[in-house]
Amino acid sequence: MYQEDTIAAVATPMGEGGVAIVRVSGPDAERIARAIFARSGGRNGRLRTHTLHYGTICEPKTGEVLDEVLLTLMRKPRSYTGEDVVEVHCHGGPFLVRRILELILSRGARHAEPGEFTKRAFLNGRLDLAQAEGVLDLIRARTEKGMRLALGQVRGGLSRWIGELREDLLEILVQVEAAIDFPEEEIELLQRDQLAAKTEALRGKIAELIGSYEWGRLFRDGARVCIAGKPNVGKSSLLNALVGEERVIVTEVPGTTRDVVEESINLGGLPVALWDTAGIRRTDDQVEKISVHFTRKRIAEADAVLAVLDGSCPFSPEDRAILESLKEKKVLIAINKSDLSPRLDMRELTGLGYKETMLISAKEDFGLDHLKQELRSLLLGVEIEPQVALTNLRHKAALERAQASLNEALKTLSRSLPPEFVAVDLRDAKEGLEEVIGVISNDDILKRIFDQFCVGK
Amino acid sequence: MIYNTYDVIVVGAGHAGIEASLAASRMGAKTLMLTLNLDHIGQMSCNPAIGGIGKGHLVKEIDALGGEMARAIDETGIQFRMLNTKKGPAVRASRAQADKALYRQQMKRVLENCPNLALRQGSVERLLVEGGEAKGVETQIGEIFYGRRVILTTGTFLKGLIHVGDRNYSAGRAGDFAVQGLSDSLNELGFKVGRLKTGTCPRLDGRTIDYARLQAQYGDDPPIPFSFSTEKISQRQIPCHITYTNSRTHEIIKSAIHRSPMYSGIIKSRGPRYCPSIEDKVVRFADKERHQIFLEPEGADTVEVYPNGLSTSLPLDVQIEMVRSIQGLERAEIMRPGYAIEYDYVEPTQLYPSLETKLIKGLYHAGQINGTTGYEEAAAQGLMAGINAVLSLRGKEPTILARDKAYIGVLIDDLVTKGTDGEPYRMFTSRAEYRLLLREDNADLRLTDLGYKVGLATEEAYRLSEDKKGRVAGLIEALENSRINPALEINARLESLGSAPLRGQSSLAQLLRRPEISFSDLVLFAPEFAGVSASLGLQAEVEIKYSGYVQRQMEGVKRFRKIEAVRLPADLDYMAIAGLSHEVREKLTLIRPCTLGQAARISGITPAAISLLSVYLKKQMVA
Repeated sequence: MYQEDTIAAVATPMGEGGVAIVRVSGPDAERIARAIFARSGGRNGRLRTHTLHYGTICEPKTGEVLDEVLLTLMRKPRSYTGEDVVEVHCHGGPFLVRRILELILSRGARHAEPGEFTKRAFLNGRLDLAQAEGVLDLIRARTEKGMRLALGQVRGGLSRWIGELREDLLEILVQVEAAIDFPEEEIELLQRDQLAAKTEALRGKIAELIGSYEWGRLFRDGARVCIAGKPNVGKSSLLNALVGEERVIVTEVPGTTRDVVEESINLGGLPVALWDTAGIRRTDDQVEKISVHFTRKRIAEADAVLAVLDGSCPFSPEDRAILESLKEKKVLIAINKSDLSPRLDMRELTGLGYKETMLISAKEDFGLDHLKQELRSLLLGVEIEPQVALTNLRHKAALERAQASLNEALKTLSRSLPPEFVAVDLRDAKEGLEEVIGVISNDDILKRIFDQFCVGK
Repeated sequence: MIYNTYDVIVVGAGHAGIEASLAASRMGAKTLMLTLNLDHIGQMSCNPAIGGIGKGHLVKEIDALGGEMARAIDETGIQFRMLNTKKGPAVRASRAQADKALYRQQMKRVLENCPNLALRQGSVERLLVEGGEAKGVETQIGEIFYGRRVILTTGTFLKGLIHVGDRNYSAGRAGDFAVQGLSDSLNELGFKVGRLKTGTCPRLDGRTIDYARLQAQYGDDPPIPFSFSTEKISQRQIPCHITYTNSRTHEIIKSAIHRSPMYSGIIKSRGPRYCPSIEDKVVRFADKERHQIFLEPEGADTVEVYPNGLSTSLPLDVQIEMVRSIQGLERAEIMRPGYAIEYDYVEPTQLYPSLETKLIKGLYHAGQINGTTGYEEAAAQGLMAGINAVLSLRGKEPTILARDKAYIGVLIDDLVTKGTDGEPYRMFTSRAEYRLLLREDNADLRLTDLGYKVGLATEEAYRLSEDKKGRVAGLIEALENSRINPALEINARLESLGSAPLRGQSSLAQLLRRPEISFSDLVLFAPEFAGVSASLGLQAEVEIKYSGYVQRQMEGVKRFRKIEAVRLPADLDYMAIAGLSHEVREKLTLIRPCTLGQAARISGITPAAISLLSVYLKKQMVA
């Protein structure tokens, strides 16, 4: 429903481009802009509305400059949404854009749901219903296109898919309703077990679609992978090698990487944020303790962990401690420095339950392509990429509701309860599906009964 | 000529007119019922039966509210059957064949003996309106009657046109004149008048039917009455018989199809899909090898038989050939030909939920004039129109039954919110979202108190239903609190009922939750419940057995009531609301829904439009 907070999102598709736009809409938009935007020439007065301003986006705490940008402020009501709108036109690197967005979010904005800007435009009377629906379609297409650019596939669209599911469901429901309202007719109605089979099949399709949400989310938000390992196993080298440039300082002294360094790479269309971390080890150094704390936090938030071991050293208690701390995560083990003579005993790893490991050498650029492939598979977790993916949390909730109703329907069918109860569950499921595509209709059922069956006297 | 002034004038003595007249006069209003033919009061134009799926529900509700139909059919019914007995309680429906002549007599007697009610034969040709308010009516011969409220229940009589083959003639129904002027009068007043079609079967001479090889269908024994106040049925019961059309029948129909007024294009109006003619069935479902025909006697004292399923408007010679091709009917004589009838109706979106027209204050429409089909649908509307006409005379708010309260509510809400969509409307259980809560068996619990409040249900009926509510609650508690332990004989009995043995202590309520156990079975385990009446037991059983589902429906009802409670001002200027599409604005302006819930049900109004309305209303409240 309509909330009166401030939303922000990247308005341009994910992927690389010359320019990206981050759009902010709501009562806090101007305040957030002033907090992070410094105009060139040091001017400090009130930002003029509907004017392009040139300046930089800075992290307020550190003063670090993130990018040179063009910023516009459009004070309400003459803006897209009818609220105060700020747009930041920055360079189009996905990592950079993400950082700017996150900065904005950290200053008090909420990530917008797809289409939410247009929804606000509609609710504020800036667009009429027909226009809004048109724009929403377009946006959906843009997001899907954005996804397609990142994924290299996905045709069809969610609506059509759900529309088909709804058709399947209606077929079942019509059978049940016809049996109820026309008992005296000699209708060839499906037996209970046939109905159950059809319902089961439908439930499976919905489950698949729900499962695609995680997949879709990874593509929308990007996956997060943490590189973990004891100091000096070569994490930073590995990161450099994967990214392809020297971004991180690599020295021999353990403990050099104090902060968490993040880089973004593209694994076959999947945006992945790689976090290098401070080597985890017991230490008395305060700064290092803080780094270690952040590391653990990042590991907890990661979608997967790349655990790096030094193949030229024996398996140490620190290695063991690290691996044990990763028990709940998706882990890929990379044994680095395989260009040197191996002294790591593999049996230690199999002993801990890790059967598959990778031999790599960051320095010699060996095994890295394979590593990337494995990492992608580990993250996505599916063999076959789904044809359609959910990206909207509300849609997911609606589908979960439909799925739960179908579960109930199956239970009801198996308990031989009368058809009017099955109908309740099936109608609930239908409503769940319809919530996604925005259709509510009670008339369809009767129409279908009469098209299909010769009933009535 | 000017005669008396009445409180309420009812035009028409069909099923809607009867309920309207009785309701108004019983509520104390001075009522006049005008009919074209006093001998045809309560005539069943088509099927000699009351009830059925969805329809039976309406009749029970009419009874609970204090209407007449259920009692009349109990007096005159010749075959009673419960339908869907193998299915759940929400879809079990009562149906009864009527002795048509007896039914008419019964209704006429009741009307003639009703205080405050005057009956008059006359054909109303003109509505008298002044200053946007109904004043009275004028008949064919110039008689004028003044009435403070006028209820039109004209059935199929407005410019009725009967078609048999390529011949047609003006009639309201076979054997009755049509009414010509009234729909012109309505048109002039600004009403949108449309045209619909329905049809009926030929009547056969029972003496010429060979029943020997046909399957007989008997009614229930004992027959179960419709009315909550009827103890038992005393009429002699008569069975129906079943036969089928065959490929030869279909051939005859197909080769003559061009001579059917529907297919030749003479009739352009739409007929009800739920009452298709036999030619419709044969054309649309060409692969079906046979269609079922129920041979229903029209009364104990007549030889006329109604072949249910054989509705047709084919020429008479085709009808004869068609009938004679059917098993058992090889020598059957047609006493009255089947026919199609076209008639004017007034699109019901022009009504408020009280059934008062939006255009003319004090004018109500009920029954087939609103585009419905079926005696029960008509009677339900007549009852509500009668009640609301009188309530408005007293300056009171009309009684509007919500969709979660009664099928009558579903019916009227569908009519005034969605309209007929060019096709006659018939009730089905699938139209009710809260089907599980709107059962035949609990109609009295739902509506008797309302019927009593308006003055139609008797005090006794009210007392009985209130008492029943209490006793049901008590019974459920007793069943939940009962204890039953596993014992050899208990488990043996369970097994004999096809149920699993008990492993630990349980309660009777727990047993009742098993699908295979019904209330009457419980008596085997707890003889102290033997005295409980079947209807009480059924109530308890349904609530216990299906409590999960009932809960869910109740939650749905809560959400529904919230959005229903948001009233829309009658003078809301939809054109001024920014953000609504032109189409949505037009629809809302046309229908003028009373609540946000009703607005949501108008076809073409999207959830987004409702959000917008909701936001707009909130802003208005704050301003």
